[in-house]
Amino acid sequence: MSNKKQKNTSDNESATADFGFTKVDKAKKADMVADVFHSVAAKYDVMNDLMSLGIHRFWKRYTIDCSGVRSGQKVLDLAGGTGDLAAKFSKMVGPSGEVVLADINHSMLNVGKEKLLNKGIVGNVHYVQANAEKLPFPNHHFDLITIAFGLRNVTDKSKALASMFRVLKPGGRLLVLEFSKPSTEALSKVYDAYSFYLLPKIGKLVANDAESYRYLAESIRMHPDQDSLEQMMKDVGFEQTSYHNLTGGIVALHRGYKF
Amino acid sequence: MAAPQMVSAALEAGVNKALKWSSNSVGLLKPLADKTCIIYIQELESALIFSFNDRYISVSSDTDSLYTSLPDDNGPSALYDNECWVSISFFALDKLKQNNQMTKLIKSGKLDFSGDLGILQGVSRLFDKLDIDVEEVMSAYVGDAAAYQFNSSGKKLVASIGQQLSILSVTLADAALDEKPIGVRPIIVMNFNDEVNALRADFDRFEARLALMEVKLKIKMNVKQGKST
Repeated sequence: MSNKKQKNTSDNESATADFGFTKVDKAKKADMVADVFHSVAAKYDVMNDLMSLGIHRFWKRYTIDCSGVRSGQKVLDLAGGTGDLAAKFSKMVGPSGEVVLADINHSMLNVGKEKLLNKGIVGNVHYVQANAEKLPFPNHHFDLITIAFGLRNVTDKSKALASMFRVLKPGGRLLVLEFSKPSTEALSKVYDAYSFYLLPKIGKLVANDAESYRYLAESIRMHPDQDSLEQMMKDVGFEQTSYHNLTGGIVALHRGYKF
Repeated sequence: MAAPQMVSAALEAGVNKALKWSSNSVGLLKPLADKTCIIYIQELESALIFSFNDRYISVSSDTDSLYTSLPDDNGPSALYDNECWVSISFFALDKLKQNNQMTKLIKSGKLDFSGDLGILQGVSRLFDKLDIDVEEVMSAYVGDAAAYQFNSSGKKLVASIGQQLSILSVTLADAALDEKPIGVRPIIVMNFNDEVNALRADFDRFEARLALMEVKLKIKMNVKQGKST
């Protein structure tokens, strides 16, 4: 088992958690992450487009294409942030379906809510401020759960995955879209240079917040790689797990089913 | 990864723009609300999934390749009541707009279909009846006067191109028939056919006469042989 795997599986027992490259008290991580997202919420969409050169839209569209969502189904968009996925799911499930946009951070949730309301998306979308580790929903409730660029900010990832497993219906699927490990060394070096030197500078320039964007870059590096995350999903009960690398592994979409 | 997503994104943007510009899209979309039409394009070996609501059409690609053949009633591709599946050639896509052609297409095997035919007919009606007033759309961006000018110039240009094309085709036809006789006029073909028919009739008559003479000759020969014996 790799060091990373050991680190992840011991998430539950240790009293500290990663906050970027620094170790912090587990109880404080959620608040520290919350501060980061309070800070970036207003410029989150602009920064996403800038940082990914718009490619994040295709990553999200790929996630939607893999969702298999159908009219009348119930979808949970966890750590849904500014509601990109929820907006699309709302149209796909129709008035007989239901989409829950959940985020632990109320600033992000407010931005998402306002954005969706401005787009005229109402009726089948509900907004819930929720912690992924303790989801406030009944067992076997959702047909699909997505968490896009959110899992790496969760303090106890295994606990969050187990909580998602609990609220999924049998036959339901979980999609985790998250930054991951580039598949080639060369791409990895370019990506490192970009995220540790350029990204904080863009953050400083656009959002006047270099520190938050430095955290985002560091948190990406500390996130489990593709295989480790797949194993974590299996460990909590997901079956038929798989992942698909996007843009050379910079991002990976993990998929797992509850049967 | 990106190609199917780019196609579906471009298609979704284009289709919804057209809906926005059309004055009658709301009425046409209403019967399709909350319904899904899966269109499998045979040449691309890929399906596009159109999910309708009362104001918008979501387009997504079939990443799991669930809809590459007739949906299996017991498998993951089993259709819901509000879904339909169509398999069609890319080159026959425009025929989907012709509602009265649907049954003919299915019978001729050019269109494979499963699910609620009403959905397919609704989709066909939607794309056939969309009414887009180009001048009205343009006026929002460039103003009424410029939109009118552009539209009337465009119409004149299209009419002029059509006229020039028809003159060109007549000139080319004349050249091919008279100056460089590489083709023939229909009247010449008809005359030729008449001559061939007349010749065939003459030949048939001649053949019949020959047969008759042959028979008469045989009878005469038989009579002669009878006398000599």
